Amino acid sequence: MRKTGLMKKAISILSIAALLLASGCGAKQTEPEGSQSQDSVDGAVQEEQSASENEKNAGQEAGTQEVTIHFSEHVANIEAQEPHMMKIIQAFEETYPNIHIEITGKEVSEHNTQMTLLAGENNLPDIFWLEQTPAKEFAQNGYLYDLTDALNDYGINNSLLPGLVNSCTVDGRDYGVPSEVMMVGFFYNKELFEQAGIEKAPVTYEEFTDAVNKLKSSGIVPLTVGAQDNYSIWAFETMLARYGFFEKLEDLNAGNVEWTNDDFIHYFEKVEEMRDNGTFTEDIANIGYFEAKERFLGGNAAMFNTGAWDIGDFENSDMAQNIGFFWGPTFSDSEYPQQIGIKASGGVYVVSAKAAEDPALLDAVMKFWQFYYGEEGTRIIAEDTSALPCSQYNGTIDTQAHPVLAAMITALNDDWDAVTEPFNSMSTTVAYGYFDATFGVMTGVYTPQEAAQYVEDLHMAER
Amino acid sequence: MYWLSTKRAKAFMLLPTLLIYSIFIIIPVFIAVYYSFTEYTGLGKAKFTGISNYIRMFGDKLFLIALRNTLLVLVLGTVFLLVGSFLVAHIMNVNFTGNAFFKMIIFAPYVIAPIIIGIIWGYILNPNYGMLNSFLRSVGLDGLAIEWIGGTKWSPLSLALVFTWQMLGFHATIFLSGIKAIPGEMYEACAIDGANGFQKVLFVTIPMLKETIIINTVLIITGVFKIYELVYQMTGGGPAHQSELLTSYMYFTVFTSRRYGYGMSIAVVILTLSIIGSFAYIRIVARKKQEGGA
Repeated sequence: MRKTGLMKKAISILSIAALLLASGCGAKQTEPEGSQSQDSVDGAVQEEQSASENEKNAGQEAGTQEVTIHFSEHVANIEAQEPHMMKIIQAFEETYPNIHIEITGKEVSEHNTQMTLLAGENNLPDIFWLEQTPAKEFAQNGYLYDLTDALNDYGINNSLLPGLVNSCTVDGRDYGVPSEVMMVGFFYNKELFEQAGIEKAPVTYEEFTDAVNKLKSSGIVPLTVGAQDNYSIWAFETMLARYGFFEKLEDLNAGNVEWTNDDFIHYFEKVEEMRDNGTFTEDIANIGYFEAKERFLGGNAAMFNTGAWDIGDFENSDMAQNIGFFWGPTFSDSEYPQQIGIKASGGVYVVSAKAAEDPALLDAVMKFWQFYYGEEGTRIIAEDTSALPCSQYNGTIDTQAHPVLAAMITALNDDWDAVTEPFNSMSTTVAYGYFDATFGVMTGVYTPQEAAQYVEDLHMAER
Repeated sequence: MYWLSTKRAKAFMLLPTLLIYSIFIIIPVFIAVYYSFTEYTGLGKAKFTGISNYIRMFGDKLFLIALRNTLLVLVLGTVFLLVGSFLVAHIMNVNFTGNAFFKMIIFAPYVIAPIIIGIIWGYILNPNYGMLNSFLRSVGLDGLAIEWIGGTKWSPLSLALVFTWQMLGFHATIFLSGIKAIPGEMYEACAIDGANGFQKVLFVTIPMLKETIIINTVLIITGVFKIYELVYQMTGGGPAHQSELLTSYMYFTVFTSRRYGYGMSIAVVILTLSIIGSFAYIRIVARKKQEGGA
């Protein structure tokens, strides 16, 4: 398929499949075992679709036993933050009238806390969201159902984008299905960039600094960040990866390399330079992620670092047509690959081991995932709610109606290599330590050396 | 009636309360103490590590910052609240038009959820667009328009002020009940002896309110060790944990950083400090009372 630069009406989302096939292979941490060719995937999709039809009929005909699935999500306002989930549940319940889904949601940190507490009480919901690292811990401790066989039996692996198969494995067994395409970077306000005389989105650190200077000269806040939600530095994780995080990971875990290594110090120094240069919101310490987003959407800041999950919010805003995306600055003082972006699986949905003890409930759960990643669920995600689907879809989108989604797909299809989120390769303690350290530098609490030492101390305690 | 007053009957009637108290208070404390000697992520089995968590605390800069902040809030909160609520109680005790309204206004913050108080004061104290700094700047007091929250210096003071605002009505009400219990004849006798208002407060009211002061002080001490929502909402513990109090840092350690064992050791320290603080104060006052009596 040939693409022109400015397609007015539609581009094919099929390209997502091709991209993520590539990104899966390019991902350094989550390369799927046994990636399939596109041809075999397409064939499998057809088989899955007919299987899906059969299931659909079976659901309608044999729907005598009432089953309720309890589902816990990681957002407080599901209707607003994950509209696709509500629509899919509604469509699923119409297809399977005997299966009901009771979904509840809490803000991510509250959700994580609650899941850990419920695990201790052996009272986990039937299906729930987890970050990858805790999901592996849950699996290792026997709280999760081993999905390996079921994902094949229900044809779910055939529906998933190849790069997202095996999203959460422990000892080669699958314990989770991807909740989202984790794609993060900087979103920018094209109008404000234009106003400041910036012609194109920056690529190198020097260009980024130049853009910041121009924005400041025009009286525009360059980048809005909220330190009160210390996890909200996704685009900075890409920068850490550009200073060799994945290349050093094994040695970091073994204690052969420390966080105080020159490359990581350079990473923190760049954050410090950004701070000194007035890149961040002045009251960074007094706002959180949601306030930061409001400021970006209100036209009060030129850039905002976030991920694909915000596409819906961006497209529902007045400035949807003015939002662009770039991966974040590359660094000439690093010897590691620079043309990389986080394009991988983010959190995962898991099934509790307790739920799997009830065959009828387990069957209902798997039917739901089959539906979610199947044709109908994927269509709802892609067309109705402007999110990036985790499974293959052959439809089209209107780029006028979904400009941000189109921008993301363009970025997704670029030739930059895919990496996973560094967060998913660290323990929770070290990961949040890294977040704190970065925000510590952003807010002037830590010097680069102190920040690196802070993370090193936490990591050292685990070795 | 005789049966009800037997020891066995009393014990039997106390049993439900003791049972509930044990299940929800005593046993969890022992569980927390047990986990404080382990390395535990909240999942699977805990690994016994002896006193290593307690040793780690002394090298943990963030714990020491949280401890320092807590002690600052404790000292400031105690001073502000004891003095403030004592004065407010005296105003409450005066008959004037609008007294009931005044009492209601003073007591209202106590019944508002702390998380709401955090939101309200977060907006008021925001250094950039907060109401307080806007006011100070508008009257030319730019020098006083400091970084009330979000910086590394003034957050404990802000937390102490907000805690005082929240608890003032409650402690003033306790003082008021104490003041009302003082016989009027004592003040009359003082007046006959020529004492002025200040002397009446100094030589009658304060000595007669010793028990009330003890109760209020103990409640303030235990209250400070329970502050969590204000920190969570006003500063998020930041920047980079510089405004954490012990409770909020314990929460972060346990639920965000997933170091349950270490978090439990912080919880045990909080409990110990709270008990020591309260008992030490009671002992000191009791000793002074004995010396005064002798």
